[in-house]
Amino acid sequence: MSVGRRGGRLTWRPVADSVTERPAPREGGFKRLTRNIGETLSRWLRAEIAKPVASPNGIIEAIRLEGLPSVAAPGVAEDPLDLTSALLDTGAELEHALMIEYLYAAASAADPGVARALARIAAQEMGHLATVQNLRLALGLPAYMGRQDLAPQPGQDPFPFKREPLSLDALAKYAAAERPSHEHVAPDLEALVTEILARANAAVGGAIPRVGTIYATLYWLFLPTDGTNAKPWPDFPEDVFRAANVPQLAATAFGALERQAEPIEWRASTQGLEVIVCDTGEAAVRAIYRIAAQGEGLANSVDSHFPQFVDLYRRMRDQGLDVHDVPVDPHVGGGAPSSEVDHPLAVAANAVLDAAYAALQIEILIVFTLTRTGVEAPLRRALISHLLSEGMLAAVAPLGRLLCSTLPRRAGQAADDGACAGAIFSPVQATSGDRAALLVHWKAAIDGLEAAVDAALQLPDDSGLLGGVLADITDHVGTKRTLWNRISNI
Amino acid sequence: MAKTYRIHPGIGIARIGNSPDAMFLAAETPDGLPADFSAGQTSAFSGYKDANGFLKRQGARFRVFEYDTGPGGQDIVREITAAEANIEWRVQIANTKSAANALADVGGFLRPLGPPRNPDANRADLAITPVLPPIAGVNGSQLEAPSGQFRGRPVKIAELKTDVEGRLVVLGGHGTSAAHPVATPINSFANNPDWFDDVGDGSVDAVVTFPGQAPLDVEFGSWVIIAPPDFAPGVKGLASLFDVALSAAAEASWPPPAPSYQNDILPILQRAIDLRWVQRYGSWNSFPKDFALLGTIGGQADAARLQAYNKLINVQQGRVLNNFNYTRLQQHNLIAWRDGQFIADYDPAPPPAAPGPAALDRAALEPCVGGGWYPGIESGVLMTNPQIYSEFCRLGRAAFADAGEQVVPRPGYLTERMACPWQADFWECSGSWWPAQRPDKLFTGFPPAHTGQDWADGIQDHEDLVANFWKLGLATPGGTGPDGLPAYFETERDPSMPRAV
Repeated sequence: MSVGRRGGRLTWRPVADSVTERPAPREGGFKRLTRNIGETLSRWLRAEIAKPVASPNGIIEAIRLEGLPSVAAPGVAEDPLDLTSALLDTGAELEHALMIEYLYAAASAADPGVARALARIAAQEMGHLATVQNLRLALGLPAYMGRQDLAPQPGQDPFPFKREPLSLDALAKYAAAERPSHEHVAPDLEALVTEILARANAAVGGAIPRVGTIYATLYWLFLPTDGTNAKPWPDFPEDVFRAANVPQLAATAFGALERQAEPIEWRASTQGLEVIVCDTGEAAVRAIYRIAAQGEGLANSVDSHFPQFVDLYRRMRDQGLDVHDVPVDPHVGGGAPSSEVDHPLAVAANAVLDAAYAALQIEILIVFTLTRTGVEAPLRRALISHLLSEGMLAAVAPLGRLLCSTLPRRAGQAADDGACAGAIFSPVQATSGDRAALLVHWKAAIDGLEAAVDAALQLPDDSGLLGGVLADITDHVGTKRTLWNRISNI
Repeated sequence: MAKTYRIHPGIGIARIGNSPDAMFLAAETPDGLPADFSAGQTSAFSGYKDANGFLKRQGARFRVFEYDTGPGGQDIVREITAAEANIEWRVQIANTKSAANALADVGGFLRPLGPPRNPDANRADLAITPVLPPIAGVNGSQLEAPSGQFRGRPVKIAELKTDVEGRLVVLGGHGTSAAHPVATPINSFANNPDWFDDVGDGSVDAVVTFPGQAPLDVEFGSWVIIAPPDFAPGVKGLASLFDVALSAAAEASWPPPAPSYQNDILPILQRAIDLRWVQRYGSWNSFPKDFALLGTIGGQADAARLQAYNKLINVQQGRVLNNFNYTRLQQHNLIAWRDGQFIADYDPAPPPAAPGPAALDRAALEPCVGGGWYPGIESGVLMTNPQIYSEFCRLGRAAFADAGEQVVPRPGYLTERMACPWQADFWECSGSWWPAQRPDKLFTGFPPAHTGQDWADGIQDHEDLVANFWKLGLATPGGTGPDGLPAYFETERDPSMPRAV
């Protein structure tokens, strides 16, 4: 059962076009611009975007190259809430996809330090995803856990969703997608970054759009219009968005504070994971800026993902990094023959992983339906504790690692053949919904998980490593059922 | 050969508790039992909480030993007590967490290389440095002078007593952690401005005066660490601070000799299985339990050892336990065992460890975490540096280099590299850190009839743990299970603590 996106489909419009198609301002909702000011800015913007790539302002550079996102038909006024909703859909899908891609790369890395660094970045994507959910809830939208490959936007996505082992191409793509504005690239890195971008573009057969314009546009949409609040994004080119007639959200009452994710409850600080409660417009723009600064954006900060990927790229290029023999986009049928997983134990383990991943996703969605105070609070805390400790750390993470480092890919594979199965991470169809609907999905996921574990336990495990994880999951299914019952009876 | 005097344990461990007057001493042999301590005497252990449900403090007891050389060159060791000499104990303990730099991630380890945790210009206002007057005699009691303060607020971090033999007992604080003077929230697992706690560490020295003789400074003094509570006493981590000290000592004459199965390998296997009572029952319970087979060489034992080795190694590097690695010596021993290069000396019923200085050293450090240095519980990654030791299980007093940093041993230098307050780390580090001290799950009976329950269930956040840590249960010995191996069940959880599930 699929629950799809809430927002419309994004398109990227060239900025110059959007400037000429500026709609009439909406009472109370959009910033008002006089035609004269708009035309002045339009001329200025055209001049700005005509500059070469090494523009002093990287946002303008990116917008010149990639345009601005839109959901409106040409010539029709952009509805700010529609645009925000679509951007938040896309943001959630991309954060989710990047998290899985980074986890897969981490699991493929034989060097524990490299694996840990990538897993940490993946965890930070989880923080971005949680903050995106907070922004959604603040606007009255439900939590949404779609993934890029469920609703791909060719030409708009930074690159097609792909589970692939660590490689120079993969690192180049990740760096390219998360690269900051040009002016934030240190001069001594310019040659290396140029090399990385060339490799990334070659890997995908075209230029890799940055995700940054999504967050830059969200920043603009949420930016309080009364001018009284601090603006965390330095040098943000408001004039560009103003000139392009990108609307802004009206001063709005930020809602669902009791259901938004708080950093403490998600044990955020141990992972360098940033989760921001969006209870005001100021908090919202700070949250968006922080996502942009840490990754997927055009700003830069000391904990940005970009330099970490560049560093890993350089290490891999110069010294080499050991990587397990893991396929690209593993599958159990219907894909590339070289990526097919048909070893019975690996097939069974992937079925368990998919079921555990589905349960985990639905549990996260259910958390966002429970309040942090009142009678629901203890169950919310218990569910978070369960999904972090038992869903992620004791199920999805170890299964992913075993599949990418230990379990064989092919039936009859020689003992000294190091081909590992890979973790399929099939997309989960239940991506949003109210609590009642999610509970139905969760029940099915728990049943599916139990059946998958039972099936896997019937198979011989030469590694001796899978049995313990399966035994843990068996134990934890009981906790899931107890939580399901308690939450169902609220 | 001249007589020398040493204090043992070389590193003693006290633990905080909120009971106003009840306390206990931890076991003084590796597999011994704790004992209640009152009026200078020990008595049968009555539990980790007092009659009102408050958590008892764990005292660290120190003794002076005389070392002499016998005719055959062997050490003759005897304890010196108040019965034959006056022993004056001199202790300096400090908590300098709030005056220290913030912990920063350097290559996956936390080191104090961040900005100051607090911006106060007067660093002395932040360091809790009580003056502990010397204590001597039997059954003495000496509270700290009122000079341990954090920004002017008195904070008790240590208390000294002597027992009926004149041995020293060091006690820590009563579990007080707070933000002062403003109620700044806890936002980090490691660094929180305005916060203090009441753990600490420092030197333990003694002056011994035999009747008619001049006072004699004990040359080999000890160090005491006042640590957070151990909520799973009896369950040991895969690597302990004792293993860390062993490994550091082995560096001097690497490679080490072939390991003993009984002493070097079997404990790791047993600890792995014991962890089932505090985290992920299924995984830990799946470790092989045929200890006799695993302690032999040849035949089916070779494959069994290989599989057990793979399972043990798979625990590292975040695959099961975060930031965990066996010590270098443990890894060397495990490989030798896997390859059949070990002493097959399995004994299903070994004799108990003999009491004495070595047992004191080992018993003190074995319950302490020796991995997961992010940053740790009692002490951090600094303990892996061989230069920190002056001899086995004894910390030196001279400056040494560590990862490019010049470290000067002084009271507080170990615990300032831990989280401030300790509850911040305890709250966030659930799931895969130090289950042998900070359990994730506890049981009240044998699975499958009983399922594990979250140890911290009922605690809402860091600050709730600050207020209510003492209400949580402990994993304590519960006999043996159907498989004949030790069981540890949850006891002494405050009945007022709600459980959501």
